[in-house]
Amino acid sequence: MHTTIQLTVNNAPCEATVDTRTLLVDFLRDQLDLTGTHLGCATGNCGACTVVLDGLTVKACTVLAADVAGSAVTTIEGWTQDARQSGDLHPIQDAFVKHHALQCGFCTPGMVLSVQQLLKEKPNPTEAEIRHGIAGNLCRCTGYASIVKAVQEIARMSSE
Amino acid sequence: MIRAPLQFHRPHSIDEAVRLLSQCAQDGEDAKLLAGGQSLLPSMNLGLVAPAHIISLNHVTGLDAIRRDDDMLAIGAGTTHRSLAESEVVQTYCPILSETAACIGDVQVRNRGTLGGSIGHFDPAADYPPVLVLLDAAFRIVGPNGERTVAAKDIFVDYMTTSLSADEVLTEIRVPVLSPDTGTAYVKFTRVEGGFAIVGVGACLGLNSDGTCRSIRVGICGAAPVPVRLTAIEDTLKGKTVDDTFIEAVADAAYETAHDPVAELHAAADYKREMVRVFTRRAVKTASERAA
Amino acid sequence: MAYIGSAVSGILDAKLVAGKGQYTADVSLPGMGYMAVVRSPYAHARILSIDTGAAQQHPGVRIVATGADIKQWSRPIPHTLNPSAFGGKTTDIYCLAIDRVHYVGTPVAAVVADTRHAATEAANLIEVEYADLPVVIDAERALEPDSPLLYPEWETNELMHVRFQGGDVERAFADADHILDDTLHLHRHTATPLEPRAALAHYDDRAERLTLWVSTQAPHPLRTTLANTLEMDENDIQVIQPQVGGAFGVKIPTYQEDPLACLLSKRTGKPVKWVEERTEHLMAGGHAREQTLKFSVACKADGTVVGLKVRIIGDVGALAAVAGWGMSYVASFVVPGPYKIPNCEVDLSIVVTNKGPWNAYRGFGKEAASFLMDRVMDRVADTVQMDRAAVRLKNFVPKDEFPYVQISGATLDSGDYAKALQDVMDKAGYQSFAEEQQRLHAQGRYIGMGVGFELTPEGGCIPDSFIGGYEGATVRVSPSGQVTVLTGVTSPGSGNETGIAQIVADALGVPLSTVRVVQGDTQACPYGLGNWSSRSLFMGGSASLYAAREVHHKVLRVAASMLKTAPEDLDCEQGRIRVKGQADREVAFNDVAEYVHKRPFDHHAFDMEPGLESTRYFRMGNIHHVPDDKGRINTYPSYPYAACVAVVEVDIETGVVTLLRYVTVHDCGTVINPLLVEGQFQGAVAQGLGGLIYEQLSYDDNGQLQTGTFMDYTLPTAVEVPSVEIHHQEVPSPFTPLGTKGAGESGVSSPFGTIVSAVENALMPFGVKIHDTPLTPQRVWRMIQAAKNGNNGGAKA
Repeated sequence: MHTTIQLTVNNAPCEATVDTRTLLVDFLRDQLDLTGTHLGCATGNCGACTVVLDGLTVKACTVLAADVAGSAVTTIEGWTQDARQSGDLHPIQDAFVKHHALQCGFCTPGMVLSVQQLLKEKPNPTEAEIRHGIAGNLCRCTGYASIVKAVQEIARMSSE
Repeated sequence: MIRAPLQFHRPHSIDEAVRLLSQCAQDGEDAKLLAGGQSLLPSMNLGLVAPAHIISLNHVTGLDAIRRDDDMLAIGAGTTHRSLAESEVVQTYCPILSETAACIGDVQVRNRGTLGGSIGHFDPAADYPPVLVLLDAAFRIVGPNGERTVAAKDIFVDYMTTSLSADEVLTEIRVPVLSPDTGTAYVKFTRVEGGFAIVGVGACLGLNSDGTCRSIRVGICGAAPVPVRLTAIEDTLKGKTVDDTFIEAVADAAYETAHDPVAELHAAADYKREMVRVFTRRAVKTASERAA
Repeated sequence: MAYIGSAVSGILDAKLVAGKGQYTADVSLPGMGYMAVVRSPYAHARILSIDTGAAQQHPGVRIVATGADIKQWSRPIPHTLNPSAFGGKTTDIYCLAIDRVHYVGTPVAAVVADTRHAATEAANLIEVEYADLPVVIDAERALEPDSPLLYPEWETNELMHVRFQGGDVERAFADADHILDDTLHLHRHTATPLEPRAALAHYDDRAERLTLWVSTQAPHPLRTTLANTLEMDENDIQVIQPQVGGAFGVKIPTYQEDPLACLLSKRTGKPVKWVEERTEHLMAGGHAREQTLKFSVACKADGTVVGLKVRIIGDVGALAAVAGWGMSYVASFVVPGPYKIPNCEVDLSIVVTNKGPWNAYRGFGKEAASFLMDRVMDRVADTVQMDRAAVRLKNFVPKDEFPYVQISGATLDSGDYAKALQDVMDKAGYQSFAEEQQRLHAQGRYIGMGVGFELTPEGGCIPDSFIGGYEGATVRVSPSGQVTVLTGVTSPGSGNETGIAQIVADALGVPLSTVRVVQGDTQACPYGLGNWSSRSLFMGGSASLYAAREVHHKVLRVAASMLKTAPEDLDCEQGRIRVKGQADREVAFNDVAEYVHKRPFDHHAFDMEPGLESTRYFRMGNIHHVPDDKGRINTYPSYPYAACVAVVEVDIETGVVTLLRYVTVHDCGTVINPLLVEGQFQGAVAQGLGGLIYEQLSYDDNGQLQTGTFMDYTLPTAVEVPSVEIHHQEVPSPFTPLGTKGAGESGVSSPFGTIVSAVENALMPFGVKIHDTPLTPQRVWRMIQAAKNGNNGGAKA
């Protein structure tokens, strides 16, 4: 069974016909070739599939594509495009690179989107707030320390 | 990935949703309401449930309103955990509900998951049910024959079973406005941040001017397949001085009540029962500190 | 030395942070089909029949395969490490089960269809009739004579029995002041990288060539294996490893699904994609760790350990073609770790049970040895009433006795264990901790400090296998002066590509930005063995260094001719080649490169071989495969280590253990890049912590996995994992050109012993003794209750 949806993806209007079973994450990856959104568990635990839906981060493995008709979805690709202030990357991404806040990079797009949500709401988070803010994103490589450090540096820079 | 094909419905009103549910029920086809989907979608991805119809409530407007209605707060079933946690109205008039919402899952789950969805799914480890039970919340439900209101004590029937019938939609949850001097707390015990509650305890404590107990209500998840309320002791403790003995009495009562906890891999029944005692103690203690 | 030793960011990071990494599941080909695998719901059963009729008829289905088909179409998958080569038993592993299943999740049939949905629908239509067989899930039970047998032809469930022995153990025990016995149990858990396994196989019918994109750690050995299994020429197979989303050992080939996808592509003539689901991964993607460790230790009253007897029972699940069972072997090989205990014997039984097969996981058995030896030292300390650190200091191999040969033949290369431990104690405030502990105890808080030490042998090199102690690399300079490094090692996210780029940039004296590292493509890269055992930088980096030096030598020769001086009078930095001490006499590296390529007959380059390219291989000099007079061989060339201190708080009402601090002094020899080394170490500690407290693959008595999703298999989040305080002690390896030792694996082993020691320390008022993992709140709480009731031996939870 299929349904046709109209939505906005990365600021561009999009119309697509989807199998009604299709998860948002699979729709983005398979039909729109936006492979920066990853699938790690399909149970809403790992957060690798985090995208921004109508301004808020969600896990795209727990959302049906058919259900986002009329919504605006931003993936890491679109956010990177939007977020550039100078250079090629957003300051959050620059800080991730500087502190090597990633290793295999699989959780990273989702992690970056969670960090941007956190900093939007709490520009000067404490370490505990940072850790709670990214608790929905599992990282198996870094042990989180470098991610926390990167976020702390962005917060410090923005408060200066 | 969802294995079984499904029909997706996008009603724009509650009446339309009810009609769809009724139709599916008549046809003998399994239908599920979809709200935030934070429990439903993982279950579908794992193949634990495979409804033939999904009826999304995400395109019905007005389901996420929060308003004060005299001495009650009326909260739309589609309100997200995030909205509940951040709502100034809820923080002011029923802070325990905000505190509960704020500790569910993680940021992404709270951004998408809803109060009504959690109640409809009714996982025994869910955080809202014990709190709604202690608050004597009322549930407005719309079905083919119109609207009815169900009390909290009557809605959570059995393990993962509510009293909503297959053709009904939960639209609103009404909780009392708590007096500003009420101390409240919700504490939970999880394996990791964002995990399911092994035990969750909510407590509301009102004090008289002399520091004695004016009212106390305690709701617990993890003690039994359905949320438990310490009704018996709530009456007998009125007028008693709130001190360690008082708190211990509540904790002991919680332990006695928790005779049938659902055993888990890392929490056997006896351990869980002890944790009910520990977290009841902690919830009441925090509530008493906040009441003071 | 512009780059070596500096904290250069990962050269792939900018791409990955923007979501531009291309992982296997991101690769698509026109016309590709999707593979779904039917897995056994039984832990032990005979397959009576498989009805594929309905699946064959399902719309969109291209092919359905069962074990019977596979047996016709292919050969068994060669074992990565064949137990029979170690005197053990073996069995043939085909891509799908033949007649019998040995664990829940055994692949029994496969479907390829036009869409993923069609493939899974068809898979659900396959009807397999099983006759269930008695199940054995406990290794000690499996060793009993009346146990159900997984492989009846073996007449036992013991895959292998190994014994290492040295000195005069009985005499040491006879002379000891104290003899202590204990039994430890490590529980089953796994690496579970965030990217599940994935493969995209494309058999091109016209070219008669197979290309496999796969999330693997070892493309070249996988190609060799595929050729064997699929009965193809190795030349007709190309294996490509795209970006890998974490591996940690569990993506060392060869799993059944990889050749299976290839085979089904070959049969259908179209590409076949397979992406593992997390539930499949947790069932059948490689398990680890579960071992029973029994010890008896003899010591003197002054804390000197004079004798040690160890009995290890490794529960490796069912047998697969992957090398997981080897971890149990390595656990026994490493005993007694960093300690000088010449009178020592280890008796190992590797046992099969009806649980998921093991595959490699960071630690590779060394974590078991580390936990064992930490527990031994703590027990000795408690018995002779000495400080736990002091007992370790007393028994370490002294720094002037390297290379030191252990009873197994493990030849420890270099180090200063005592200094590492003393340094970490200083950094952590070990001496003043008791005061703080008492102060907090008065407030009702239970804080504890523990010490631990992990020895992490690296670069394992097993005779007659692709687990080898050599590596190859090519360094190529283009006419524009751009540098390409092609390596046989790969990076599944571990960062060696950055370290290798640093080494090569320094060796050539060029900017790092001009160096590109190409890995994981059998068509492009020199033959190499891939990534595991922290070998990539110290072996692959050494091969790259040799190749870069050779190219550099040619560049300098040409530059010297141009500048009318001798090569040894030149400096090369950031792409400028200068005469030492004369800033105005210089030539650009790029100009030299262009000259060599375009003017091979002009006089500056005429008397040398054209081209600026070199392929070199590096072999570790301290591997010994010829047995010594005691019959010992050394299979590990590098022995990094870490001394650690942990501070924990225990909530005695709930049993919750919170790790407050973790401090380490780590020696991995010369540090090429502290950012990478520290990132690896921190991540390793997080995995060790996760394994010790949060993660468990748990089975019920019927062999059903109870923790098959991330809802139940709980990985630690940022809230549970503290930032580790990492200090370096650089004792260079005498066996590598830059002094590098293995880095990356270290950190995963020490949390077991260190944190357990800290928890015991916190619970000293109750006298709790810990034997079993995981340290779940329930287990800790039960131990406290038991101790309160006068039984401090540790309750089983």
